[in-house]
Amino acid sequence: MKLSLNWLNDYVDTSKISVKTLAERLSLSTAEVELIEERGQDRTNLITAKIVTREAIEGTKLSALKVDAGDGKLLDVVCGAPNARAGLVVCFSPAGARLGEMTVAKTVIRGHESNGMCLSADELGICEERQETIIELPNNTKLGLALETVVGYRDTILHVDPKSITNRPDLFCHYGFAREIAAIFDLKLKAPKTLGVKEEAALQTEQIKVKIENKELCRRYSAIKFSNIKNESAPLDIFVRLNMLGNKSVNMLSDITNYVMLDIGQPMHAFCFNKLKPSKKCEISVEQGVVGTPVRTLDNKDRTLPANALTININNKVEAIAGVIGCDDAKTDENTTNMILESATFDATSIRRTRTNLGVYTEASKRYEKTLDPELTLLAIDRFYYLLKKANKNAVVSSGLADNYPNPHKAINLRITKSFIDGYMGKESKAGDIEKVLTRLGFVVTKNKTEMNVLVPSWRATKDVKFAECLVEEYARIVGYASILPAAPTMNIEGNPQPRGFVVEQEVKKHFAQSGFNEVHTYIWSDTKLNQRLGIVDKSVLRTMNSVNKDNNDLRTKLYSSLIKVVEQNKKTQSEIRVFEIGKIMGSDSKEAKRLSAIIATGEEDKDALEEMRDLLHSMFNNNFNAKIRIIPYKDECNIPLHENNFHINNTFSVYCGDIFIGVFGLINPRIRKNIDRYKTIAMLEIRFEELLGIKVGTTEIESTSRFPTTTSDFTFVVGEETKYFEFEKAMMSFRDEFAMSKRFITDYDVGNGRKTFTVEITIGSREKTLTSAEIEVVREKFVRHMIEYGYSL
Amino acid sequence: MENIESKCGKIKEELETRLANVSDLKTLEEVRIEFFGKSGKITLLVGDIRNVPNEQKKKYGELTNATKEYAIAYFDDKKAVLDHLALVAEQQNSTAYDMSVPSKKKVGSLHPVTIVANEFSEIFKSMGFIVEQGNEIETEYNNFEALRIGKDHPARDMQDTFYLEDGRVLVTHTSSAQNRIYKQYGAPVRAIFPGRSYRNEDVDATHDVSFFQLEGILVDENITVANLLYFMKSVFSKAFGREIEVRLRPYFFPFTEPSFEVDVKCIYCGDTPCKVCKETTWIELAGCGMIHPEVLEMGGIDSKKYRGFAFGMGLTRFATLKYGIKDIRELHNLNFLKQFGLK
Repeated sequence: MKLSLNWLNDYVDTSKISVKTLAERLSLSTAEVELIEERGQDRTNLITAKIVTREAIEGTKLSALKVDAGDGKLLDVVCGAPNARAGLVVCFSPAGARLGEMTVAKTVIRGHESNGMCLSADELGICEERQETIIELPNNTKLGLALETVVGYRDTILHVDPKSITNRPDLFCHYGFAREIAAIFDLKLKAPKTLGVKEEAALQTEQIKVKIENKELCRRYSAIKFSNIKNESAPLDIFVRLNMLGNKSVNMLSDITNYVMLDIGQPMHAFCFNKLKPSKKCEISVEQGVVGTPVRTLDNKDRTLPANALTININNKVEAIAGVIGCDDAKTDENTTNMILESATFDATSIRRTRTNLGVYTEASKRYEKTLDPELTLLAIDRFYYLLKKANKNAVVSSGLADNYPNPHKAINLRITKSFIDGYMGKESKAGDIEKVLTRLGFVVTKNKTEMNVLVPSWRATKDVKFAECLVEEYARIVGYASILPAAPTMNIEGNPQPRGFVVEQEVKKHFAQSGFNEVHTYIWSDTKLNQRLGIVDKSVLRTMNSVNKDNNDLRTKLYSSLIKVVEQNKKTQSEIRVFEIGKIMGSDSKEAKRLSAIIATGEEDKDALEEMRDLLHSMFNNNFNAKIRIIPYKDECNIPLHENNFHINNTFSVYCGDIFIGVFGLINPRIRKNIDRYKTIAMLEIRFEELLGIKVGTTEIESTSRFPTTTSDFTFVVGEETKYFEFEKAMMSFRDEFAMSKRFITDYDVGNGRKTFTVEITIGSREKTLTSAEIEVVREKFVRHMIEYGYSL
Repeated sequence: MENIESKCGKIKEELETRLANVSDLKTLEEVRIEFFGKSGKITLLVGDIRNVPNEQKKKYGELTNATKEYAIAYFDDKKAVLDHLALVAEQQNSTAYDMSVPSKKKVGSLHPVTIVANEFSEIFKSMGFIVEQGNEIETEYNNFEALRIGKDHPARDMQDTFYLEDGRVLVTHTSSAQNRIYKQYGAPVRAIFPGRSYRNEDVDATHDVSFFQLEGILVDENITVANLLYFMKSVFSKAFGREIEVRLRPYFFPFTEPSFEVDVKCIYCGDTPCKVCKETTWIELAGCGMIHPEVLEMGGIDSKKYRGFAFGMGLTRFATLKYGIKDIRELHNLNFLKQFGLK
């Protein structure tokens, strides 16, 4: 939002404060000033002057002027503006004056000498758009005056971040900020100049009827008629201020309504009374319009009413979409001599919905959305009348003042004590300071022995200040947060025990990164288009309803589907990919679940990738959980038959820790690998992260070692290549003997011809004695016999 | 007896002369046999005591044993020198490997946001905070109402929030975990909860539909704005490894009162103001405030007895700041991510 310093100075005298200090204190006490924009400093030596004579230069649109710049001499000037005429007082830049980048120089145009320029608004830097006409100053303006004393083209524009004041409807205008500045710097706040309409209105016989259908949606509707209007262009000072803040000038009536809005924050609307039908009558009804009703809005666009839109109907015809935009057929123009002025308070939510549905975001709707103070409507009418009268001496009030106020402002009183405020801030306030500061902001403070009663002003009472805690902010921000010094709290050292989730996540991530994997962060939704193209099955159980991208609606049920996407997207630049992620998926029970997933895409053999994943899992469980895992062929643990799966039918494995199914890993289904068409091998894993948190860490049973010597014995069994070790292991583990202390796997070896070997080691010994070689031999023989019974021979 | 004395002296001299010329272990072994072997000169000398008259045996024994001890010591010294030289020679003759060849072990990486989250979690843990985790899918109640973001709040517009078919939402901020944490732990509580948020908007260099935040709360008796300032200052000082100047600016969040934005004095500015802080010398790093009493009450905490503060910072933003990342879309680029390490 932009603020003009000249405008602020109407209400609070900031001349003793540097702009830098002003912006900094506003940033620290009210809202961030994001930019200080100096305007017009680059235009120097400009003065007021009068065109004394004008002669047309034949064959051109140009005129040869004689201009009096106040010193009695007549200067020759060539000007192209159609409104250049004798007697006109203009903004003049004599030769040698600066206009931004340009220095005005003496020239000769079409044989006519020119000693300066009569300026248009864009040349003066007031507006961006090229203007055909030159600025017309009042006839009684003295000549030769420094131009900046007559036209406010030199100004400082403060750009304020509106995001931090969405709770402050009072701050979307100059008066609101002037009040803040007055409070911050303890300066006098001047009241806006008004011309009361009440007395004049009381004398009128003509009345405006206002009916409000729903008092929640329209808290107040005030209206009045003005007549004897000459609706030309706006007075220069209004034109300049509106344009300097980036608002287009339309016509006098429209410009004054906008001016009042930027001035004191109340949006208003001017209806052309001359255009109303039936004429000479004004019955206003504020009601919810019929959805689909066609309306042409004043921006000359045909629209249809969205559902629940609040409309202003005059004589049973929709003439405005309340608080958002007026309709074309009752808009004011140069023929308007009678007007109806609306000054109303509409419901914030209703306005926001309507403007969203319409796609029209106006300055008025922006203010209504913040929940405006209903006490403001009459002040705005008085202010409008003051400005109207200044521009149009002959304008008059021509109706009674209609003021339908079914839902009046309710006073809010808060009770606070000094110790409450001090205790909340963690800082001792000066005695009496709290009431002083609050009073400067417009709060009414009454004190008794123990506490203060604070009456919240209406402009802060709509939704901003409702709790005593809010007053802590009001006091502290105005005295300055910098006055609060950091202080360590006094509190109990004991805290809650550290939850394991984040720690385990850190450890697991570290393990994968240490093992050569790169961490990625993918989105929680699937890419349905990509899944279809690559043949990834990921049947969503829940969708988002309003994604920017329609292919991103399905929440993923598998984390690895996102990692396959990473592989696909990076295949052009990566000959090998190892990535992992811990992320969320949508479980089939419609609960979100956390998964750990990794993918390897390489040019190596399938077995290498599988072994890498196997080793990674073993070491992860070993290092981080001190736990052992079992890996066996996948048996539909995820309730997905393998032939429908994204994994390989023969090479998918289930991971167990104890009896708990932890997850799967294996080769990707060749269907997907062939569609990616880049890597010889792709293997992936998906672990149920929550199960990791259930693992009891460090529960390995510890036994004391034997004092007597033990021996180890290796056995190599020859088995068919289809034999699975986990089955062989079951047989081995079922061997029981008092002297067989432990058994472990040593290695496997592919001997060819469809055969391979498993080498295992048995530790033989006793806790009571040293075994004789005969005793050892007995154990060895017993073990071999045991294995033969299970079909395994040496 | 003069005879034996000179004999001993001669043998000593002889050993010394022999050893002076020995330069390898093989010759040394020959010398050992020559002097200390079964028929070695010293062995024989000592053994000759048999032929010495009894009255001279004592003296003979003393002299010859002293000679033997001297000889052994002398020999051992020489051996030690030669052993050492032999070891040096063995090493010098062995292969000198080239360990300047880089490691072939694959090195992975953590995501920069993870690295930043880890750093902050360590800092907060050291200050007695627990690290909790929130959901990515939440009820409207937890994401909005429990934070006083009413049905009519602009933040609930369809264009900002991902709504799910079942009425839940993808969390729009990590503050959505506040209510669950109040209910789970009660007061007093000190917790941070790093996590992921989603906003339904177009992706560009500075906006992603998903980003990471770190939210934190501290609830106890008599907590003040001054305490909040203390924690913010400590955390950022620890994060940047030096004393950092911090300031609060007024802001608006529905769930805190008062609400602030936290600026830190720009750490990138040298003597002249820099681009990172847009020449303001301050960088905005977090939003925070005193938890609104209604928010505490909705979490089952007695707001008459307890007060607290909440804060939230953008981990993604912090990572872009820390690593000077100009376009956050880089965070989806594997080649870019591969540059990071484990810390």
